[in-house]
Amino acid sequence: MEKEKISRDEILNAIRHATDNIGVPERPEIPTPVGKKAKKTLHQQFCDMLEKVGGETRVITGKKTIDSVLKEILKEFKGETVLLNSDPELERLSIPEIVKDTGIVLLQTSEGTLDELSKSQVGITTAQAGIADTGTVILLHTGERGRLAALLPEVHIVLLKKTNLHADKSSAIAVLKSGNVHPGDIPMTWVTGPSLTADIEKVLVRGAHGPKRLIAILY
Amino acid sequence: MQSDPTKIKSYIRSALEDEALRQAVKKATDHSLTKRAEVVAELPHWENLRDRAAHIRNCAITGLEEHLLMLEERASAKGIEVHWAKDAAEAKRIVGDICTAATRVSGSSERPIIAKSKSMTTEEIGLTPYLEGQGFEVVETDLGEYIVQIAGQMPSHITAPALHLSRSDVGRLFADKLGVEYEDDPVKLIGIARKVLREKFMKAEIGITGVNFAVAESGTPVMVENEGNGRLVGAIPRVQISVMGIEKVIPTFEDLMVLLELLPRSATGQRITGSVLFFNRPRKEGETDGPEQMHLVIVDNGRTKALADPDLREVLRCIRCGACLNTCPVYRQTGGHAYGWIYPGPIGAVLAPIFLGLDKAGDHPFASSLCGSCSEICPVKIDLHRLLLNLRSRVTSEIAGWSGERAVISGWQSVMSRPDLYRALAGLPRFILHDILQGRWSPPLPIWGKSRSSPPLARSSFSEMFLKEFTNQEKPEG
Ligand code: SF4
Repeated sequence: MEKEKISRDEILNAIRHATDNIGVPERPEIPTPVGKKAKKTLHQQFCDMLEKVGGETRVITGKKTIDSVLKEILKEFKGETVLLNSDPELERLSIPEIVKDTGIVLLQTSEGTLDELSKSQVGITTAQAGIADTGTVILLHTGERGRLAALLPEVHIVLLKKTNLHADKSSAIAVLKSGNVHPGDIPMTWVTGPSLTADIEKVLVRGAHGPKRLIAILY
Repeated sequence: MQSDPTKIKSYIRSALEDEALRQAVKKATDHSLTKRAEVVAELPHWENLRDRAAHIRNCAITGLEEHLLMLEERASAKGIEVHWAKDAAEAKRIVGDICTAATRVSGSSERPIIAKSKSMTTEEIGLTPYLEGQGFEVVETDLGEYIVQIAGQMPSHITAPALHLSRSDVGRLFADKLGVEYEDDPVKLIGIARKVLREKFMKAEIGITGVNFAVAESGTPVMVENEGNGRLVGAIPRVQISVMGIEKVIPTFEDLMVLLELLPRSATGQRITGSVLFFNRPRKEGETDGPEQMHLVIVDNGRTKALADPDLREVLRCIRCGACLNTCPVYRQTGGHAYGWIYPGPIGAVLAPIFLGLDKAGDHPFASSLCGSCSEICPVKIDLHRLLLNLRSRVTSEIAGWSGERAVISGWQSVMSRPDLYRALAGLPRFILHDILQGRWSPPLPIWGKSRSSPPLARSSFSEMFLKEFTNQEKPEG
């Protein structure tokens, strides 16, 4: 520890010495970027961008309720286990009841061992915000809203409120910063599409370590 | 494993003879350049973004002390333990001590497992062999890194470590090392690796990650990745250690947003990576996952030397996107291993003499055609070819008896008296030039292309013509 303290001071001294005579770099004249004239709504943009990287999307409108859309998706997972965080928003949307209705086994992330969680085929989580121009969902991990339900299963279903969509990264960060949770205080993951690798001959393979499928439900 | 930077010349020579390697590298780098061009074209203000990014990185570096102090203060306040390491040896010792302390209590007789995500800085300091020597099982979890790890090689590219291997190479490797049936379908191969690595993740006690950026205002180490392995490293192990170079710090989230626009596009031709991870703080009471203990190791290892050098300082702006490798006519012919060091390509040719010294890496700045396409492509506008020229002049003036000079003065005779060697050397740059001039590869408006037109390249070299025209009986074959 003592040695580390000495190293710290030596590094900082070397930096001070090296940067002593450099002035603050002059800010270059940079024209403000030409704003993209997006004719589409944010959620249309979000869906387009997410689909481009292999994600799937469902938008809740009119007769298409969360209940019907989710049941439709879960049809192919009869007999499997679904992983859920205990998340007040999931409760509010009655997600646990909808899942039980379909006859699928429900597992809370707080209740299983790592091995048990790892055997689930589907994970359902909420996202706290989204970025339209990249098709990104923002997951804030607080309380029992952990990382694993969105990560261990091969299918991740994510619920995102349309009103929590932002045009781009910068506006998303600006909104988060102005709210009551600073984006630097809560563990945060930005996810865009299914997990990918191109490490063998640049062939794109989905489901490298994380989900093979990402399905976003916008409501 | 090739890893002696002083042998760069002989490595290059043998790389040029390896047709399969050259094909693999060319295919992969072409692919990356095409994808990059597509997503860059979507942004009409790309050049403005580069200017802003260069400015952000300049500010980060000129105010380095202030930013690092803020990073330390804010990260510590959130419960992240900050450590400082002057050089590779100290960084390894710090990480080793943390790992030993963290696993001592577990009391298991098996070797404790460390799950590692891709990190160039940990490669640079040689962390994995060190920890293995300390009795840990270190598992590289990025699939490309995993492949080179079990092959006993080092990565050959900053962002695509196994780019030099074909699917059948990987198939044979897996059959040999993992005892599975030979298979050359990438989807199946990835499936096999996923399964093996998932089991390791389940048992991993410690996670080690790199850091792409560290945001000073909130004390946040940030990492980008695509495979989900970084997410697992940050979710499962009890202890997380992130290792960063001192230059990775940036002042604010707003700065980060600009750099996140440029890095994925330049590196892999993506608009954004599959995940962006903000390692904000350790797990709190009642939370279901995430590390209980977080450490941030800040490493100098030669960077303050670069900082003190006004002519070379700008190299610290680098965000390790790897685009300059993909576009470099030398890298494209030789691949990364030929450089004999962990950072190849133009950026590596600049860093090698700074980090390793002119005596060990004096040849590196010469492994470049100075075409300028690296400077053109660099998202933070590092004038790489100017830095290479600067280093070249240092090598010739500062290193007495530098090997290049020796070749000119005393070695010339031996080259001239050995036609095979002469032909090999003369063929080297021509061969690279051919690639450019025949349109098989065209740099996007390279700097030299703006100021001069390319002279047509003679179809054969003087020595080849000589043989053909004047000694008919001695026509070389093929
Ligand atoms: S020097 Fe520039 S192009 Fe090369 S890796 Fe660094 S940031 Fe990328």
